[in-house]
Amino acid sequence: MSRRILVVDDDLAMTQTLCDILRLRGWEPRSAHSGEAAIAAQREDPCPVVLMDIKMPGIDGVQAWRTMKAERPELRGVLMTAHTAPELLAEAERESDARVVIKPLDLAGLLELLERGG
Amino acid sequence: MSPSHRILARLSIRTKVPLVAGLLILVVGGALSTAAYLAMKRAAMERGGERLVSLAGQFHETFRGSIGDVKARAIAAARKPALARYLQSPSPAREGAALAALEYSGPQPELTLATELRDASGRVLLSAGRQGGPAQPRLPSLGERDSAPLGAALPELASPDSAAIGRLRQDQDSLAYPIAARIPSEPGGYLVIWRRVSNAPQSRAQIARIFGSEAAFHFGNADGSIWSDLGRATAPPPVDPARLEGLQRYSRRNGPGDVLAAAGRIPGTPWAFTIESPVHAVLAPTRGFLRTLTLIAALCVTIGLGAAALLSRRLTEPLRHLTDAADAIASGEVSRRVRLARADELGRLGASFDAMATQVEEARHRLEETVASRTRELNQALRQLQNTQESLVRREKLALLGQLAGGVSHELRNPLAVMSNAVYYLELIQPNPPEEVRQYLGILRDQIIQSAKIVDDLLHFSRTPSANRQPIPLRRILTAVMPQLPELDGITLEHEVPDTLPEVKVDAAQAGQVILNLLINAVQALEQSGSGGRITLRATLLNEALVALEVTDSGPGIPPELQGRIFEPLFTTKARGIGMGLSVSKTLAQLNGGDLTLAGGDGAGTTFVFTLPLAREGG
Repeated sequence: MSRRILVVDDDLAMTQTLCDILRLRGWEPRSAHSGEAAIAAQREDPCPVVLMDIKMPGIDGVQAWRTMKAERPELRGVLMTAHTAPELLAEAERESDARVVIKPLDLAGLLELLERGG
Repeated sequence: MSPSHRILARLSIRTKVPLVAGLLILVVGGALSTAAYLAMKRAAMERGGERLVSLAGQFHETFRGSIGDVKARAIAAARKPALARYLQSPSPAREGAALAALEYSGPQPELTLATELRDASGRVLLSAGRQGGPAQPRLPSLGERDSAPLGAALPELASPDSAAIGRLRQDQDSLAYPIAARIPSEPGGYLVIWRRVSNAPQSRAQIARIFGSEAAFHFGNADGSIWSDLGRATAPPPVDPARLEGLQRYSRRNGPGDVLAAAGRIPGTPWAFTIESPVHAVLAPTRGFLRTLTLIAALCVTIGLGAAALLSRRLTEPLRHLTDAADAIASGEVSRRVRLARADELGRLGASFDAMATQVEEARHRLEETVASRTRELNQALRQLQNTQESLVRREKLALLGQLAGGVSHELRNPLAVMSNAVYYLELIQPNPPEEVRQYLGILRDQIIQSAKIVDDLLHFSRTPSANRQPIPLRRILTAVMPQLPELDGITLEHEVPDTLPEVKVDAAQAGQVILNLLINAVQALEQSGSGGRITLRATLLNEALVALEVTDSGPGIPPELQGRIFEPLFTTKARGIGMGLSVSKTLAQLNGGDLTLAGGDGAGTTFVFTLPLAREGG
């Protein structure tokens, strides 16, 4: 099974640190910095797993995820948000049909979640 | 209005009544007294007159007797034969016998001045004086002066069996009069006796005894020529001599003044007399009567004035009470009453006044109650308004804060996440770092977590969720809260929550959050003071709608100057914390139909009261 993963966030420091950590744990990360760039990257060279921030300029994480998921139903992924309101989290999970985690990230938990396939 | 009316109108009734009564008594009493005095005076004058007339009558009778007696003596003396014989042949031989016959023999011989024998023409033939008396030398002068008139009168005066008395004459300091009697012989002649009017003191005393000391007896010739009061010569009465008869009234200028007199003629003589009494003496009893009358009148006026003053006082005193009471009520003393203890018109007026005052008082009480009730309602409404306003302001602040917190939280969480990632990365690449590095990475990780929590709290507290209120026992909420409490090191937690307490209707999670917040605050307050302590949870039924849950700690309390601010958002006294707890708790309490207030907290611990609505009220 491929350990390729697409990390999407408009914050470059965020994608850099995440990619470095994932690489150390045996993943092959790629990064994108907007929803549009992420969709384009998936169409060109799809990764089986996506870790994507929800709040981004342009297409937000939920929409981008739904687009990718529609194009590749086997796609697995985890969304990230800095919002903590439970109702917002619930809404994001319902609309995206994906797991949503809160920033700052519980990295041990997140890595475990990704190992299990999102 | 005339000046007197104006003065009367200005006087008080209390003065007016006695004044008018006194004037009336004076006028009536004065009129009656005057009438009585005049009647009395008239009666006294009549009685005095009657008495004088009666005296005059008696005197008249007495005089008649004594004059008759004197005349009889003169007649008897004239019949002595020696006198007749001497008239027939006046010879010295017969002179001695004639002179002896002339000697007066009768009572009061000292009053006889002389006895004369006169011929028919009135010439004095012989004259005999009183024996050894001083009259002798005076006789010639008397005889000479009076011989002519007496002589002319003698034939008419003296009939054979009668005698006549002549007019009075002045004889030095006394009065004298002649008594003539015809000598029955041929040729004829007369015996003339001159007698003096007695002026001895006893005579006057006798007169005074008869007439009284004030009365005076005057007598004299009826023609008004010579008058005397038996002591000295006096003026004749100032009355026409022809009318000198009966009761008279005239004035004696140099004597007693106004006199009442009874006048009369002395029978058988040319004399008249008056018995005079001064009018003031006649009216003397009247003066006594007048004094008595004046005394009685003064007494009547005094008693009348006193009675009128008393009556006036009895009348005006209740009026004064009424006026005072009316003034008192007008100035606000509505419980004032007159309570006149009398059954007359004033008493009824007083009763009516009191009834009216009672109504006024009741009306005023009702008004006051209404005002007080309205004021209470207004105050309550004002408090509610203030609470609502505070609540609105707090919520608005919270909402604003929420907006801000939402943005800040999101923007802070990203860098925190990057930092967190970085720490994690460093730990991954250096599984066995030097002790210092490991320690500092730990500090970084803890501070990142702490920062995230602060941002989280800010966001969490500034949201105003809706309440999902359900009936639930208060104990169940408490039971859910207790495990979330931090460790109670040296702190005693006491519960006083009765099983009988009815269910409350609240959002259990929100109510739990409020209680947890209060308990955490209490624990922190006790930890701050550092010597353990006690926290008490006490639930009571506050009224028909609310349960009160009191959370009391034995900590240092809240300084008074801070007590007004503790429910403001972002206000805190703690070293750590963002000051949202009490503000959010109060908002949640109000959101659930209750409230959160500070009941006490200065020096003697702090007590917060969290009220929760009862389920059975349906609120």
